[in-house]
Amino acid sequence: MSGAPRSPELRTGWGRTLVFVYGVFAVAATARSSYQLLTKASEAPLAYGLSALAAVVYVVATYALATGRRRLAWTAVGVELVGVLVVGAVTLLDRADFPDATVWSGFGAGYGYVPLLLPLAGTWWLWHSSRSPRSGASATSVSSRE
Amino acid sequence: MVGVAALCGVAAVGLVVEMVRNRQPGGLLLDFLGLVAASVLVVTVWGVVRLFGDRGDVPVWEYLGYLLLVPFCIPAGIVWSHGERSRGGTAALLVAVLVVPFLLLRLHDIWAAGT
Repeated sequence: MSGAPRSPELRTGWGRTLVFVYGVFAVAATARSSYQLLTKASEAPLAYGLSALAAVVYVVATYALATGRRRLAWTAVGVELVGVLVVGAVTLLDRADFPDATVWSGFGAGYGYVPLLLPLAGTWWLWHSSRSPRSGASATSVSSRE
Repeated sequence: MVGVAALCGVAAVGLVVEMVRNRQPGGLLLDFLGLVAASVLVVTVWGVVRLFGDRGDVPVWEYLGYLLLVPFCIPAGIVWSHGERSRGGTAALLVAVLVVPFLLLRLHDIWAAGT
């Protein structure tokens, strides 16, 4: 995807906070899912597989926001929003397939619903930063390897 | 652990005040954050040491995973917020400070469930 413009403003202002929160979730979800898959994958394969998927999504979202890759960030945040809504609903309706919780279970209730709020905040930030006056100038002036 | 959580609470109040005033944390507050980070380090060492005692059925790797994340939170927050002059930088540091008590609570729960 070489030649696509970068948007460094994604990690400034409130974006600084958002990237940090995504980073915390990326580290926590990666560590937790790695531990689950390495030690007890057979106990709840679906739940632990979804935990691993969530970890990948958080890592990609953190990377995309921190490096100003707007399109990739939109994709990651979109997948995250769909994931937390679908998994949240399924875990409430069909508890049998989820003997252990994922980060998205119950719409992220185990994490104070931050997993539900985070993609909403990410969507708002991506939309808001694309409308700010400086985003256009910086997006076109910085080259990208994306 | 309760003492460290209380220190984090005080630091969080200070950071909220700086956010409201739209100022970067400076002097005294940064010194206090250094004190909090040092106390977190002491708790981390204590957490490792007590693994060598009677630990019952505590899942060691899960416990260690959370424990070893704790001392990195505040330094990572300071580094990441450095140079960001808006409220967003201070808010990132606030998140880092608030993550510490959350991780300490998880550690307490994991330990209590295993012993």
